[in-house]
Amino acid sequence: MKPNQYLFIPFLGCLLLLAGTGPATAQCGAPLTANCQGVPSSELIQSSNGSVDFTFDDFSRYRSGITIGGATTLRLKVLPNNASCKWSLRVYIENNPGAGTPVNEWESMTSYGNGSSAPTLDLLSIKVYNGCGTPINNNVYQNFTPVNGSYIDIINDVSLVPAGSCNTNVNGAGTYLSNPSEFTFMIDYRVVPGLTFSPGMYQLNLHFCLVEQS
Amino acid sequence: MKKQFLKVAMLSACMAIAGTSFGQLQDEKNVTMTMDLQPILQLEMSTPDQVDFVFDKLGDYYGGITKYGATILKVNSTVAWDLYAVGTSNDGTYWDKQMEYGTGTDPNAVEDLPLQLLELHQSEANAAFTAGTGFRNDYSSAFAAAPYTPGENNVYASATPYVLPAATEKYIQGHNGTADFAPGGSYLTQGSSMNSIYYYVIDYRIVPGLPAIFPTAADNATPPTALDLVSANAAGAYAQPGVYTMNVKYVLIENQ
Repeated sequence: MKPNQYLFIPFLGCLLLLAGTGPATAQCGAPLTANCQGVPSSELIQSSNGSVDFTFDDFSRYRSGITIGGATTLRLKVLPNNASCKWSLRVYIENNPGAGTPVNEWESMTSYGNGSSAPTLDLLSIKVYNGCGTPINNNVYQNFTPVNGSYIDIINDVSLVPAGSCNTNVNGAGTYLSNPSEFTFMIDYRVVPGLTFSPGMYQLNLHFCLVEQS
Repeated sequence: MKKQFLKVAMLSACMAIAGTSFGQLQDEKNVTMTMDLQPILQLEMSTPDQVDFVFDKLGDYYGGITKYGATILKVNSTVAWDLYAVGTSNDGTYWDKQMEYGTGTDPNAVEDLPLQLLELHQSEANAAFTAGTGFRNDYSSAFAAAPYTPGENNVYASATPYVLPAATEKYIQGHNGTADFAPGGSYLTQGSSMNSIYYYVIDYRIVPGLPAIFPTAADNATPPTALDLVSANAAGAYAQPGVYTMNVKYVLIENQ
């Protein structure tokens, strides 16, 4: 074997290892630093059903909407590599654009009747809260910008807010076991369709992302 | 030796980079939201479903009987809609004769009473009827005293009540064309109930005349075809005394 081949083999292995890390960052954005430990030492745990159904079969529900409280619960465990560990928690909205869904609408699974006006993505409201009120917009209903891939920041990582302070935007290292009021997040969902949209079955996905980006 | 050192160094660097990449914090969980918007078309009728006209006085024959507010209709809809009334019976043309008074042997006594002798008046006018080509597009005209205008308020009649009425017929709201419809809404939320297209007060009138030929009876052609018993039969014709019934259906459908 030629000496150059000795160099090529580990180089190729290195490329494969690096390539293996790529796809996982596609939705949530690439982690830019490594001040916190990765999975499985750190973890985002979803201790609730991964499916939320809204069924509108009564006129009053169309007008007043449906609220599903605490439908999603997220628990975080973030262990540090060093004292600069800080993280962000963000939720993206996605409507399966690969199926041809218009960028601002829910994906249509089936339609009832004659209409063709699908609901827009800003129809969904979410409210995030926890015991310490750490989310940036704690306990307030928010709507997504009606564009596939838009997001709402629950916790950002602009500056480090250590755990244990029970303040807004706590993003330092910690776990739901030791700081449950800061590392547990409950999410309520609300949809008030009104009478604008066509009857049918619609769907979208929410991606909750725990990542360190700065 | 130098190349071996280079190889080891490169492998070490590679592992360090890869290790850092795997060690970075990133985790994701997903929730799928499903929304089932089921179409709702509700027509509520809070009034009795039986309306009786008893003609036992001369004045009733001459002036007719009007039943004000005999039917109240309320609409809830999540989709664009049309509403129409259709008079029907066993044959879809004449009232059903339940029983006959007298011997019924007079050749001028007619048992075939046209369904169109029934007149309707709706409280709120039709707001969407560009496709309408009939004499009238709804039943919003006030009941006129004699001399009557046949065709003004006469009910649409059909043997196939669930087939969409043609453009030549009357609708209460919306019409035969897809551009003629009322938007989704409810009498609960559309302002004052008495001037809303989601709330209708329906009056009924029957004018037999004397002799009882039903002088107002006509279809909705332009001009209307008279259906009074003399025009439809022969001079001297009159209604055979008896008990007659017919059915008025109010049909609320998604715009089409």
